[in-house]
Amino acid sequence: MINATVKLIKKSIWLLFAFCVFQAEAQNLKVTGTVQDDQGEPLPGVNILIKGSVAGTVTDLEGRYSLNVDGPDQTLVFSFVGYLTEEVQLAGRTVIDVVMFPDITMMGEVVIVGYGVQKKATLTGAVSGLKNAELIKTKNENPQNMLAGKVAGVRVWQKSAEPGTYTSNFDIRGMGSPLVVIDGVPRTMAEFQRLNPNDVEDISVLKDASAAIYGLRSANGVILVTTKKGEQGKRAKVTYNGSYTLQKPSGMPVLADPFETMTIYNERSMNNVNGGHIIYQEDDFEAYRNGTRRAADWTSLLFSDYSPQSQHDLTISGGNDKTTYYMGFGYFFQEGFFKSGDLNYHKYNMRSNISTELSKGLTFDLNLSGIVDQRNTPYSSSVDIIRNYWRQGVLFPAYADPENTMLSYEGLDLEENTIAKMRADVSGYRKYNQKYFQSSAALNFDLETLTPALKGLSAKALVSYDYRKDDNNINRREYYQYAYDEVSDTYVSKLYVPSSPNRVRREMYDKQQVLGQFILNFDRDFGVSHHVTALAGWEFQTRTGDNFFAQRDLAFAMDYLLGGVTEGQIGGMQSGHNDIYEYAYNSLIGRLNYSFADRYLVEGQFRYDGSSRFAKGHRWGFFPSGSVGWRISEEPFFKSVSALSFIDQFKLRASYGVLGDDLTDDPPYDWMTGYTYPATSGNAENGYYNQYAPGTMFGGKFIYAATPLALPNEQISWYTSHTFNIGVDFEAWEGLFGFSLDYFNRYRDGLFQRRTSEMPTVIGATPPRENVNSDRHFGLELELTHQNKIGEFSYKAKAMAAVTRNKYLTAVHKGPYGNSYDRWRHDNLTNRYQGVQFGYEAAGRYENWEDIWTYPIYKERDLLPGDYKYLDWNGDGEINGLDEHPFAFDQTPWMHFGLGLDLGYRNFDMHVLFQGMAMGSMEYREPLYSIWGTNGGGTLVQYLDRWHPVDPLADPYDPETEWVKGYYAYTGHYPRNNSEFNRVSTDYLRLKSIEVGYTLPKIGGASSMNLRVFANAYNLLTFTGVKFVDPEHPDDELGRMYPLNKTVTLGVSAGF
Amino acid sequence: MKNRLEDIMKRIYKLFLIGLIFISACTDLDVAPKNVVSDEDLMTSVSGMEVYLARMYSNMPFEDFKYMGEWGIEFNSWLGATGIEGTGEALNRDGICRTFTGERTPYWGKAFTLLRDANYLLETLPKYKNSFPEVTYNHYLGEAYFVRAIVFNAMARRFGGVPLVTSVLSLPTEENDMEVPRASEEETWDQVLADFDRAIELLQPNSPKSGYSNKYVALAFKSEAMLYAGSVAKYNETVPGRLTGFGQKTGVRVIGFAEDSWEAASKRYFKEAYLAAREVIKSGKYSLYKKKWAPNDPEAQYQNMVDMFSDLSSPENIYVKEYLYPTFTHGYDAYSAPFIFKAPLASGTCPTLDFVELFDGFERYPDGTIKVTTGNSNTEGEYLMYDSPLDFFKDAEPRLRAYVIFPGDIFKGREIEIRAGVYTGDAPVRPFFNNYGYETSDTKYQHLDIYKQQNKTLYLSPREGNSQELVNYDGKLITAAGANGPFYDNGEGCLTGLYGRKWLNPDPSFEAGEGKSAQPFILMRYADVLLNAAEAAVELTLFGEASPDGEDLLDVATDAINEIRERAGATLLAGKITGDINGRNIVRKERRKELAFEHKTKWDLRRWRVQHYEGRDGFWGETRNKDAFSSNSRYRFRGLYPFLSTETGQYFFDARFQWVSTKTFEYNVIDYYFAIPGGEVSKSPVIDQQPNR
Repeated sequence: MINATVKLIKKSIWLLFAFCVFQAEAQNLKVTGTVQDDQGEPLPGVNILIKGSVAGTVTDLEGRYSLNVDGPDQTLVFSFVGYLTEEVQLAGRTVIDVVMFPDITMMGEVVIVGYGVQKKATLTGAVSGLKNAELIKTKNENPQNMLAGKVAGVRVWQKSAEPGTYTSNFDIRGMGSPLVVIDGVPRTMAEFQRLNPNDVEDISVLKDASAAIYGLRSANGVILVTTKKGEQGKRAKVTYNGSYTLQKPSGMPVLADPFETMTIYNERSMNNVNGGHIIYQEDDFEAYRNGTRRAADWTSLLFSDYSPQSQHDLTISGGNDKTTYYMGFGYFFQEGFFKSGDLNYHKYNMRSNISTELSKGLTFDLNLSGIVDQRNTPYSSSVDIIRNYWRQGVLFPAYADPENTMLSYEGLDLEENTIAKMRADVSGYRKYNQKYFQSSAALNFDLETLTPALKGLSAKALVSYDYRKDDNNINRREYYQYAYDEVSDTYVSKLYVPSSPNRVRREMYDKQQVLGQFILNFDRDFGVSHHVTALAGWEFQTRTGDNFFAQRDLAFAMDYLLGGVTEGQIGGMQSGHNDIYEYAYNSLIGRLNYSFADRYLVEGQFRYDGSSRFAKGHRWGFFPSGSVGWRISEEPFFKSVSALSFIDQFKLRASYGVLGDDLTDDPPYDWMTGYTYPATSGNAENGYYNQYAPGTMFGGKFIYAATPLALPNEQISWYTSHTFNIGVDFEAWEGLFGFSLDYFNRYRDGLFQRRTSEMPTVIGATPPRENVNSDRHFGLELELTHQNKIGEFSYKAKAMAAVTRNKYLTAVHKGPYGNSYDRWRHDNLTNRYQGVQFGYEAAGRYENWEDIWTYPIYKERDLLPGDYKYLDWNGDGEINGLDEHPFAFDQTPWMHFGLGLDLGYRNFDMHVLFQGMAMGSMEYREPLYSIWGTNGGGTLVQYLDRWHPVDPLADPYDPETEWVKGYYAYTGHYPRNNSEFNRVSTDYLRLKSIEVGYTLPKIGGASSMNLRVFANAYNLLTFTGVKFVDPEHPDDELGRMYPLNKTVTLGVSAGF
Repeated sequence: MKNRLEDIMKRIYKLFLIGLIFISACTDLDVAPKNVVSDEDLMTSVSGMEVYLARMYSNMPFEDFKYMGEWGIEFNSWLGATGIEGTGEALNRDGICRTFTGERTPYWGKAFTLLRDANYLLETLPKYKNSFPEVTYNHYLGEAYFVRAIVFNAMARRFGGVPLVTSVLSLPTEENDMEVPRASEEETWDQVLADFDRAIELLQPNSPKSGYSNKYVALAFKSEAMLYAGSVAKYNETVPGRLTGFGQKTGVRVIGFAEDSWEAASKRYFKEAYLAAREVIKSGKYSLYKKKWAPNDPEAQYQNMVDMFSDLSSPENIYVKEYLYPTFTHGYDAYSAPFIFKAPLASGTCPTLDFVELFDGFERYPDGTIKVTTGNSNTEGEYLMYDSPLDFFKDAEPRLRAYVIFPGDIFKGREIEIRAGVYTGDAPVRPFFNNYGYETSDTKYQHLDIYKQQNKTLYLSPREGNSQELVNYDGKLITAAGANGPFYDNGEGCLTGLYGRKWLNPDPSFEAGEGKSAQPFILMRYADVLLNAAEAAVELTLFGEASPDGEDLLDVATDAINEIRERAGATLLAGKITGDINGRNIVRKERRKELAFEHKTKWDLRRWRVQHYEGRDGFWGETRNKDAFSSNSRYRFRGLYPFLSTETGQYFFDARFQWVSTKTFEYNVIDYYFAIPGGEVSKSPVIDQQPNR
């Protein structure tokens, strides 16, 4: 849409120049060349002047020009509206090809907002926009990750690079999950994650009250995504982008070798103040050395050196006067780090956006999109595989026979062989298929065509239908493992029981939404100075979801339900609120903008929103917002001061709005009474053996129970947000410097909570959720921009940083407390900043025995040199729970920042993105905290860096023993979990992305072929205090989550 | 032409608009969630009521495979084991093997939820009375009273006096905070009694379906509950300083009984226990399981008692918790089977030698402990030799063999090889240790010189498989430890030289695994009732009470014990049980033996108040020297370890404190009542903590 508008402007400007530009005088030297934009698109209508003269020309539709100059030392000046001016010295050359970069400070730039577009210059809300070109400079499978470090206030931290799982935390200003709107239709985060980044034209982020037009779903901000359209009057253009990526884990602790493992285990056993003993004697070491005993090299058996990833995109776009079209096809493939290759992901994208003028003033838009993806994993989850890898240790071989044909069980904890778990052909697989279809059809009618009195008034009607289908196939395979029996010299086989019997489970989910919009738009100038735009509309939406599953034990290993046996077959459906649901919204929306002389800007908007999730009489809410802007730089007095003329834009803006949030995953049907049926519980697939079973046996049959709903609360309603934002935008020296600063503050009340702490337990019911809690988010955002050109070297820099704090104001469910200390220590909510961790501060290490004997604190008797000292915070001479105090942030990084650099030199371009986060921390847990295993298991390489006696057999408790220092204490002594030794700051700065591209010179001046090759690296370099794992890697799953990746990509893009 | 097209387009456009407005007008916000049902759906039909009852029964505080003393009512069969709560029945390597001094999840919140379900049924069903015939309607009300009685009973056993919530409480208001304080312990037991009596009155004599209660189920559980109440009232008095006290906030006697009321209460409860048990017996509806039993045939008697735990048609079953693979399962076999069936764990229930010593059929030293040497104690003489380990048990009571897998016996068609080690020194063999007392229990076989020295004569294995030490015997290599251990560095092997057999699925074709077991758990059987009757009878006699039903109390007790012993293949009583402590101990000991591994003993030890040091002489249901197995505060249990002597090719046994995964237990007077969850005490202005905590 905007793209088309921009192109339209370009085209008209060209026409203008074509007619009235002065014809260049005849000169004695002819210079030719082409001008392109940074996307490799030819730029028509670029004005070319010989510096210091009035002679010049303009480029034609193909971006070509030719010009006669009177000497070889002239300088050519290329200028074009919306682009940075380029000066090129001829230096004797006669062919000058130029790439022009868009001027991001361009006054005419437009930004997508809710239900419309606005000029960036006169925007009054906190809205950030990002163009495709900026987006795709980071190469990642997930558009969320491509946003990291680029938009102030958009916080992205990737938790894992597991193919197809899209595990990133993503929010705006730390406010929770935002609403995603794709091409004007509210859609889901999953759909955003699966978009082909190549199809994205533009992403807009509504961060403040500007989101209020989305009413009940707006409180956490809105992400508006617009996909590409064809261009009017352009012949068909075909582009191909292809890239191949190599991935490596970023921070994946690996196991030590058998000798190190045995040494560490010996140490752990020697670490006994009452006298330890050596487990592995010299002959054990010798047995591994001479090959009598075989170790398992799990690391190379399980992990690939590099895992591939590839992306291929083909787009066709173009248009004539009436019709434009854009078609995009994409294929993406990613393989996981496991050597079997059975963890992988395929995704196909198809998009067709067509727009046509049916008759004068009446245009018809049809957007269709299809996504098909398949996520394959072995039957065991990646967490399970990594957990098992770390746990098993290397002292027992992976295979029972030296030829590596029989998977072994001997010596493995719970007989779990990780290779079997990793291989789908051995242990089975899980296939997650998703199919998305998104469509929207819109008619837009310019009412001015009926009568000029209706100038500026247009009407739009849109219907959209989206469909999603999930089809999962979970197939468990039974397998046997082996052991060598020395006594009988035979191999014994043993069924791995949890793998039995062969079993298949199919799950089908079906979700759809229908949306209709009818909108009246008005946009008109009154007089010279008054500009009014207005919008009024009606929107409705319904969403439904349904599902079922079936499970059968199989007669033998096969892929389909038809191979199942009747006994024990199960069919059913998931009854969760995200699995079976139906809900509806009806909304009335409106907006009015008025600007006086582009100087004083006022905007008011509202949404009157109704949601079926609440009780009758409590369904409708009114969400108004308003904002004002003052462009001081447009004031006559300002313009009259020549000393201020270097300032291009200086704007103050403020906004306030009331927004709603009913987006909770567990909708508040607390106004109802009755029961949910059937009751549910965890681990149904294994007969609830380790959980509450939601029913009982009557008459030899399992009868499911019904679960009473919580006590009813008919008043239940959405959360209400009161959002305030104030900001300043400044641009000067034609792009040399610009900044934007925002302060925001959001109060939320009506947060759901059950008064569990107040309701007497004897009532025996779940208290209702009530709109009782409140909290506050506030913070600052800063964006700095700079762009310049020195000779043929042009560059552009954009830096941003944002900090958010979150404070609970009321938390009715906390307490009661025994005393004020109890309250201070345990009320982590009421009037408290969030994300603060209690624990012990570090006070160094015990350096030697003298230190241990003299250090003035009560001590356990098993201290050793290298052990951890903690701060006696309350000064009572002993270290205990009372010394715990707030000392660190939690895993949420409260600050994020980024610096993007675009550099251009002749045909080379380079993009660098530094990105980082601060004010967060992580805790090393189970396997990352200590040696978590038996029988040699859990000995990760990192544990080798430890305090230990020089002589591995020496008694550590003998004061004569000589020590070597290390990062950890002596094996078997670990720091307190919640101490500074074990909870580390996740502050980091990383080279998130770096890309170098080269655009090949034209082969023959006339060729329309355009070829760029590039290399890109992701997560290449990281500066952080976190050891062993990636600083973004969470301590979720006790640290066993699939790691992030570092990637290197080689790619090509071609257009013709 | 062009105009025509425009016209068509305009018409399409108008239609489109009208359609749109039509659709939006129809978007109805009256959309309720799809899986919500109402009272009327459930309470007007038999199938609906079944769903309601399923909710109540799914939350019953039954102690079966999905219960572990250490964890409490969590419905979790992970690591499933029985008899490991410091009762001396069995040992387990894990942290879950601890005395029963509290539960990780105290039975508090879940109790009130279930009480609400029962009270809600009692208050709401009358609205739909006409939907059912009167007997059915009454039966449902009876089920609700039964549920309430079970809940109050479970709470009283843990906490003493508890809040007696007998109606549906609504949300607190300005006027009423809805708080209910703890009642006195006596009031609580009286409520249990009253609710059982209401249930007995209303319930049908036969369960409409298996899994439902009936009159006799209620009577049987009532006799057990009243036996508990009567014992507590009486034996609190034997605890130093009397075990009773008042709540700080309310002044209510929340634990124990008043000095002037305990005796009357105790007599009353024992009488109720006796009468309830007698009514079940007299009904003739139940009998001991003897389908395969034959007189003087130990093999048949053993097989009979193995079968009875999986036979759902057993006439002995009064109330059974059933399972169904794969819908509703537990994992007992996955954790408690012998090591060779490891899937994924094993050896969760290893019976102790102390338990075995309760049974007849073994030679004894003068102090009553089992004889393994030729001398008069463990340290005297030489080890007795046996051609096969099973020979040691040849005269063992068939019931013991049905409960415990002996070394060398058969389970699931496989011989269970249990061997602690191989001795290559000369025979006869002198005892390995010169002290078998509690104070040296930390000295283990691997500390012996005959194991550590250069030319060693004792071979042990730290772990299974390739970690086994190998010994040359009879021209071939054998492993030091047997296929199931014990392994001194792996607690997953056999810990005590014995394995539990009760509750394990004996079917050789069954592959154990987590969530693969569906053996039923018998929560109440006829033998329980006989033992309840016998114990109540003896207790009444001790009080000098007349028989409540005119029968000779001691005859009732004697008959009950003999009936059980006959079925067990044990020696019958020489004469009539006496109305004294000896007679009482005979009944108690029989109870420990018969009901072992059924989550009963830990409660018996509590109600008899014999688990703290001063009472520990009576820990076994008979008088024993407590210093032999315990210190002032702590105690341990023993295993029976078979060794192979290569010189003779014979086996000998060493009786030693369990040595693989040293478990030491502690129990104090305070533990006879669990603590009220601290959060509940601080949250409520009326809930009292135990006065002794």
